[in-house]
Amino acid sequence: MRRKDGKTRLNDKDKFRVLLGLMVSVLVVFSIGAWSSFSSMESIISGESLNMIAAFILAGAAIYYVWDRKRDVDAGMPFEDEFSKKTMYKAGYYAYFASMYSGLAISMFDDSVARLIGVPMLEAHTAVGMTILVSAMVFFGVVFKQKIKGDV
Amino acid sequence: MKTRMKELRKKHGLTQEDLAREVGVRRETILFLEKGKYNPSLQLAHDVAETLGNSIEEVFIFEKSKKKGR
Repeated sequence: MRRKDGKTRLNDKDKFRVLLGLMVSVLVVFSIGAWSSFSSMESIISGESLNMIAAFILAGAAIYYVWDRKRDVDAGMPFEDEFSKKTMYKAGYYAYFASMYSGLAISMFDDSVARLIGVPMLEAHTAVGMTILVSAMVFFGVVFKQKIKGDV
Repeated sequence: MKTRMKELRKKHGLTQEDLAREVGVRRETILFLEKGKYNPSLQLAHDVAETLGNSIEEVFIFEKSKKKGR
């Protein structure tokens, strides 16, 4: 939607998306902060810290993504266009397969490998969290790859 | 796909941002179109060509298809 000064304005759907993205990112960062404040050093040093670091990076990526879009809108360009939509579809496609195969790999690791090599099995929430994080990292990886190299 | 977008855009004294605003896309779309790193839809190709005051064939240089039978 274009204003009289030539600048565009976010429509309601885009405002909702921006707000949702920011809320989720803030929630993730807050959760990480709360977790690190209340956790013992042992759990921070353990594998759980990798999940938290990945979540922190993803929250940063999400905030940057939303800020980048908002900057374009403020400069008079649309929130999304055919290139950005194509990027989203591609990222979603790869993230879907990443979540499927990482979920499978993590459950197989827990069922077979963990017992064989004598490492503690992953807790359910950790396994689920890792699957989600792998999917999200693939998603943003594809998005940023498209931003750098285009749709090739 | 090669394009003459950059040359024609500069001829009109437009920045990438100006062209993006006129066409109704984001600046990075124009950037990747100029570099030949994105194949636009027919509608977008038409909109870009119309904004630059040229035909699609004058803006976008199509290469011979490598598919068999063509």
